[in-house]
Amino acid sequence: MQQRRHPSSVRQTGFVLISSLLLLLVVTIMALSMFRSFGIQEKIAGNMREKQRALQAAVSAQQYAEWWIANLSVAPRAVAQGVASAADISCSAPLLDANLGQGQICLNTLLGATGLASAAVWPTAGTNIGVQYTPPGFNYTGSDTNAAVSDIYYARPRFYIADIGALATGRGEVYQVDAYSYGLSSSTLAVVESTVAVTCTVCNVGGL
Amino acid sequence: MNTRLQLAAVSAALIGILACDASLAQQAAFTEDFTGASTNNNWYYFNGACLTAGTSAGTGSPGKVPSCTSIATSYYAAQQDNDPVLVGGATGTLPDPVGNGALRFTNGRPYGHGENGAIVSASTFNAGQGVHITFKAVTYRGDSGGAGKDGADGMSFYLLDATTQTPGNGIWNGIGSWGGSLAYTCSNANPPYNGLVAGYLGLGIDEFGNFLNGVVLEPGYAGAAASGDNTALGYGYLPGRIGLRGYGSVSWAYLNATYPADYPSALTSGQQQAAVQKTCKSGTLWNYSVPSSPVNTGTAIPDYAPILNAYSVLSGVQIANEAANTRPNGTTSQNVFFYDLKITQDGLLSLAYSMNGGAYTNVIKNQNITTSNGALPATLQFGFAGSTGGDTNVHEILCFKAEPVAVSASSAAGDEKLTSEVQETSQAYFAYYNPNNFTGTVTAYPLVDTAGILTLANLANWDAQCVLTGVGASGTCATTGVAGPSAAQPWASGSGNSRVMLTWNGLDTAAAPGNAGISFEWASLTATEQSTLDAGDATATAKRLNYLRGERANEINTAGVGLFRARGGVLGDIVDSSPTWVGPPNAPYVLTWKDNLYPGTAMPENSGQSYLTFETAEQSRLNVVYVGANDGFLHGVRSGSEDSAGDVISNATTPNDGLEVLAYMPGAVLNTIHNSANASLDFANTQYAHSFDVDATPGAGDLFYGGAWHTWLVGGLGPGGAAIYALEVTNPTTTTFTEANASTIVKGEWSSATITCANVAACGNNLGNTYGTPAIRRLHNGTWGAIFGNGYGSGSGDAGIYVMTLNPATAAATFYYLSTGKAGGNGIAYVAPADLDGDHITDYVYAGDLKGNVWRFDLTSNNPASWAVTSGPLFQTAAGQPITTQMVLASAVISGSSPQLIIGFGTGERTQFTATSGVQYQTGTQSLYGVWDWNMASWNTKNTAASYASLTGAQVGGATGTSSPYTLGPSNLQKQTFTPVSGGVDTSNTTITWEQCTPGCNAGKFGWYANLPATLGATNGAGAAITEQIVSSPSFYQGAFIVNSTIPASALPLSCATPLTDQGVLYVLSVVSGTTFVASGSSSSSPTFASAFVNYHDSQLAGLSTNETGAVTVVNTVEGTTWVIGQDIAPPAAGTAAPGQTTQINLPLNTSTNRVTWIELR
Repeated sequence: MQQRRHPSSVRQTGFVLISSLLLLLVVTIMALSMFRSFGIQEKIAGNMREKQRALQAAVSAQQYAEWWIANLSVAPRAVAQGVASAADISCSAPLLDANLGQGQICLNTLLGATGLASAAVWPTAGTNIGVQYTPPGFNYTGSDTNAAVSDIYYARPRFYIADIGALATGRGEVYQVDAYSYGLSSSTLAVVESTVAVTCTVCNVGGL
Repeated sequence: MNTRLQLAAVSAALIGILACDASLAQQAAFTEDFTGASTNNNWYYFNGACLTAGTSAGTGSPGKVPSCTSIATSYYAAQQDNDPVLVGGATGTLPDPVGNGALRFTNGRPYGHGENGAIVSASTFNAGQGVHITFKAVTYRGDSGGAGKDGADGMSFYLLDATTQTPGNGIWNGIGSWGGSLAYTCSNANPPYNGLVAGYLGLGIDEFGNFLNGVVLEPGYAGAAASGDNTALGYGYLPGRIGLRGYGSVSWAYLNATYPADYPSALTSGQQQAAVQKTCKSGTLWNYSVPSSPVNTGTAIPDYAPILNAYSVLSGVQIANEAANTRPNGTTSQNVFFYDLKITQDGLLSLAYSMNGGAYTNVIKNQNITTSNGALPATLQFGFAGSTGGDTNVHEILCFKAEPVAVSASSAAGDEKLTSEVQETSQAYFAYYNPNNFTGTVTAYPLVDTAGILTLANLANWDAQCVLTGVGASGTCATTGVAGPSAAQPWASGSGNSRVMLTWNGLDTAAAPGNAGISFEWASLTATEQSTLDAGDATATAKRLNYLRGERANEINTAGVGLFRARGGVLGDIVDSSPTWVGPPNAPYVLTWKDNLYPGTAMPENSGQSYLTFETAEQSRLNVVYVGANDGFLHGVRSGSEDSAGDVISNATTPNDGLEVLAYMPGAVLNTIHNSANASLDFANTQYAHSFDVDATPGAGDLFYGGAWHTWLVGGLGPGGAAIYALEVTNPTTTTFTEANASTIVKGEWSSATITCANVAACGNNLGNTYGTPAIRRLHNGTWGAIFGNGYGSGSGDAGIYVMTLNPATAAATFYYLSTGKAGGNGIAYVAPADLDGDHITDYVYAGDLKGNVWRFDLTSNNPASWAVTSGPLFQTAAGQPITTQMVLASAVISGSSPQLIIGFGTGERTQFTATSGVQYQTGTQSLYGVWDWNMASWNTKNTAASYASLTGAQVGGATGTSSPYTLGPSNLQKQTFTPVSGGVDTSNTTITWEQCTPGCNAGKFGWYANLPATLGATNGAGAAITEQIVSSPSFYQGAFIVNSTIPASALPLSCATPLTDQGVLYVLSVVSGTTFVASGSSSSSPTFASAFVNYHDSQLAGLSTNETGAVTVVNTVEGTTWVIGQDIAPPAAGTAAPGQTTQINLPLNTSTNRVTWIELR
């Protein structure tokens, strides 16, 4: 009869256990570290998304402002009449609301009206000036309690239009449009600025 | 900014046309124009009375009046001169063409001595509602005889009392004595001395001077001595007088029948004549019961006594046109007299006459004659007579009309001509005048925007006349519908709302130039001014000044008591002056100024008050409407203020109620408003006809000096004089607009006698009547100033412009005169300053002159001494069509890559009525023009960033065959053919091939022109056609040239036709091409045209027959619709509707919007 033979010469050493434990530890460490890394990356990706959202909203407000200049403001008529800044006013608080049909072209630039050093700090300087604008489908804090938290913006975008003078050709007027928007929180912010020229086709050179 | 309605254009001046009275009578109008082959009515006719265009002999008196040819032998050849022919008439010899005739009484030079004629209506006229009589009279082809060299004797019109005597009863005679009696009164000199029986009123058109010449002078009259030609009472012998005598019946038949005891039938014919003569001389009954020794009983009988003060002595003109060989037509040959006689049923008599259709001179107005002359008889007959004696004249009558008085004498007449209009924010301002009594008003009508449809409310917000004059307890302000009573604004200073009235402390003459503003108070005037204002008065008092201030106490009443003319209202007529609205500052000025031609120059505007600060500070200031009136003053009336949305608001500090806040009488007007030598030009005189005072539209603008912004008002006088005034109107508050502040409000006044120029000597010789509106502009020499045309009728007759520059520190004015050198009855009214590079500094000034030249003045130098006209003219209109209105300046990229500068304008001229002539218009075809100023090379070297398309002189010369200065004409332009269509005017929409010189010059065009096609058949007296023309300034809006044309109706003074109403076409067309507008989306090579007029589907429709007049205003509604506001030529009755219209237009988008830069700041 053949008896099952135990290899007597082999010693139990526990290497696998130890290496397994070590591996487990490494994996755990890796997992833990990866977990932490994912959090940062996710955090980075989230901030970029908010910035994109803020920028898109700011650009949206800016585009609306430019459309408003071309279509609803007195600018085309004034430029066509050669009295471009005739309807301009010196702007100061309070805020207007573009969604209520309001809008204005200011004779003073944003910096002139606010005393700020840069338009980049306009939103955070606490100045109550400009025109608020809510793009379509835009949810901001307090506007819609049913909206997903991630779809909410911190506040309504805002723009400011200044008449910055005539074209060198004398055939039109240049307007500066500043606009900003927040993302989800007040810490995410985008500020954009453009200049827009309104030129007349048949110009009045007999005006003031 | 939510401007509900935004001003887009301002307006200029205009007038409308006289409508005719509505007759509400039971008694039909009695008309007889005497121009045809026969008369409409039957007349008693005497001696030489005949129709010059008559074709048949008389049918027995009473009957149709015979033709002159039918009595040439029987009457005229049998008189003193044995007249072989009948002279005068339309052609020089009779008969006249049927329709061009008149009723004649005497023949003329070299014949016609000792002739007479008369007619009396056979039917009676029911005068129960009063009687209003109009007719025309001409006297011509005389021998210049008599002391007045006015020929003899004259004509008369008389009213017979038809209730007491009837024709054929043996007493009725139909005519009085000849000679000075003019067939009305009895005579002291000419047998048989009989006067008209049952005469009620006689109007003497008295060339020789004896009609009002009695034995005894009227009490209180200190003029010419009486030499006793006829009747007992009179005013003495004086040639060239038009006057009225009252009732009387002094003839043998009448005296014998009425007073047989005193005038027995037994008298011999010699005794009968002597009895009539004595009775006539004394005005009392004589007892001839003992024929050899008649006794004056002392019993007064009616003896044709003059109506108290009812006469007018012509000054500077004569009744007769002695030199005319044919009948005067009132235009090319003068002296057609219109008469207008009115007696109301309650006995108020008015008589006025007009020469050649000019302003009516009041001989007497609303004077009660019931006491002196008896009540108006229930039935009347009408008589006309004319006679010659030792001197001769043709005497003729035409266009007779008698009708009941339609309106009560005390109410203001309804015919109100519109003057002009301006519009801002949410109310439109209209100004009027009433040609019947020369009052005027400014009204503010609300603009109503109903879902984009803009209309004018029917009732005005306020009426400045009602506010200034007040409304009686039983009255209503017609335009506002607000019932009285409301008090008049106090004329005397010291009350809360007292008028603030200023003037100049000089007369604008070389001797009394003046140097400061003063209050218009007697104590403030200089001694020279006081004596000028009271010249000819027995004692110098403040009464005339107070009358001018608005005091009514010294106005003449119906009893004939009072010093001065009774006015219908205190606010005088506003004829050519447009209301100029001065609201909050709204110029397009920038925060930081920069002169693009001299970029290194320090700009005063950049230190001190910024325009923005000024705008902000004055945003809610009181709005004031300034308008010049022919009562001597520029008036400013308040019209609320603007809220932040640009709407008119009325509050305690800025009421929107039309109350006058300022009145200014220029020294030049103070010098002329009292004309002691000519009653018809003397404002306060009861016989005032009309004269012009402040008749031009003032120009307002913001300017900078002394470190701050100011608002000035600079204006001229139009036909009122050769002067310019400037007022500071920055702060129209009750504390700044006071008489005490006169010296700070009035900035200056300059006339042809007082103006001096820095660049030329005696430059006042070039200043004529200042018709245009001055333009306030910034200039390249660093100063602000005003630019204005030199006006019409200057001493030199030159055409040029004045540039007033203001010292940047003190605002002291320095003038420069820029002459065109084209003198000779020339002049410039309006100027069009051009800012070519958008820096708000005037570079060029364009202007058109009376001779049709288009000029350009170069103001680009920073040294005023170098300012000058560009060698030219650059264009001349066809046949020298006059340019009397504003030009519009447009630039557009048309055929190349650089913009072309286009000058748009129209031609035509209206010469305003005077006391001796009616409104006159330019004859011949008139046109619209759009002309390219190709000569921009000089400019392009100055500012390369804002260059314009330009050609060289050689290129233009080669292309057009012209030589230096290369003045172009209509042949160098593309003709757009205008065609009247139903309801408007079509343009041919012809495509223009523009002149281009790259690479070689083509045979292209330099713009466009269009002849204005409409006519109402009007001609001047010489037969030259008067057709559609431009007498109102155009506006420029979104590439559109917007202008009202005027189509004058026939206004021949000699015509008996009821005057037609002028008409007008509102043109809205492309200033670049003279076409309608190229619809967006279609290419310029094959354009699809679209009319600007909404709801009209005619793509060629360039003009709409709106019958408006004056410059238009364009407004936009908040809904985005665009409307043209204009004034009716024939406005509806006050209170029923606004006197204007709104017309919707739709213009293609005239701008493009492009993003230039973009940056993400954060």
